[in-house]
Amino acid sequence: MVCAGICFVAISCTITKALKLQKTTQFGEVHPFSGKKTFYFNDAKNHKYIVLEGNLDTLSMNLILDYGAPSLLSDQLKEAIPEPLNELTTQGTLPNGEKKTLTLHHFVSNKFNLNDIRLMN
Amino acid sequence: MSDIIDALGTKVDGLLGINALNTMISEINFNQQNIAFYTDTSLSKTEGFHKVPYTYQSKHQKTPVILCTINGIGFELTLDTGYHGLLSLNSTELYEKLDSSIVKKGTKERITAGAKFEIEETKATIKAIDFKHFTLDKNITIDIAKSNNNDGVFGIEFLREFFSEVIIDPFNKEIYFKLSQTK
Repeated sequence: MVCAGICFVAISCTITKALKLQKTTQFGEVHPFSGKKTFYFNDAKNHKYIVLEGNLDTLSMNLILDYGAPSLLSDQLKEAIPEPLNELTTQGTLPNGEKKTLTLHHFVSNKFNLNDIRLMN
Repeated sequence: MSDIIDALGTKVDGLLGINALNTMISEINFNQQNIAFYTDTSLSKTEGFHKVPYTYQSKHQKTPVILCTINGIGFELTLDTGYHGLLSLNSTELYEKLDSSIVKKGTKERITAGAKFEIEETKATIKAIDFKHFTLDKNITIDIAKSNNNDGVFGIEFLREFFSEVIIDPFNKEIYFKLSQTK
């Protein structure tokens, strides 16, 4: 399960692949807030992911809560982000031992705000 | 977009991942159907919870890893809320111990970082997980594969199935579990 290098958790990589995040955008800090910020969801059973609805500047987005992967944005969303990106190429090892070169586009924003959350199938 | 997004029925733009989540405490309450984020550790109300310390998966990816014992075998379990199964374990030793309880065998295609490969997929049942400070005494259906790693992954379904509340505190590197009273 554990890969060297960038160290993706294998199953999260499945999601990463399925979401077409191969050319990934990694983002940095979440905007700090004081006190507890609580988000409610209406659905309770038979759901597989927690999905957060939020925004970056004026750009709205839905993100899966994922402790098993770095923060990533889709290529489509990346196109809409005006901030400069730094490109980082790194090598990871898949669970079957295969080496894989991954390219991460990195930017840092302190403007990411969460405004809703719900569980999704 | 992708099959996963079609299945979700909504647009998903990415992942809120470990680099962001490690900057705040996450408090998931499945009974009240909410999740809270905060940075002040004094706001944590942990009475009635079981505390389990964690380490990082690696110096490169700071995903929580907790130690536990299953059928006398030590495991390192990675918290991965992007994993939609219950509990996935890798252990040839446990695989052989559970041979009589195995209910399904087969192969499963996995895609990781763009590469496809097949893994052996087997389902079996374990009766308890010992987290050192408390024991989860439940029948748990697991995915198990032959491997000498003795590691595994647990995700959001595992948390929802057995716990009413979970607090993940990256500042003290601790996870707090509150057992569900209804299961």
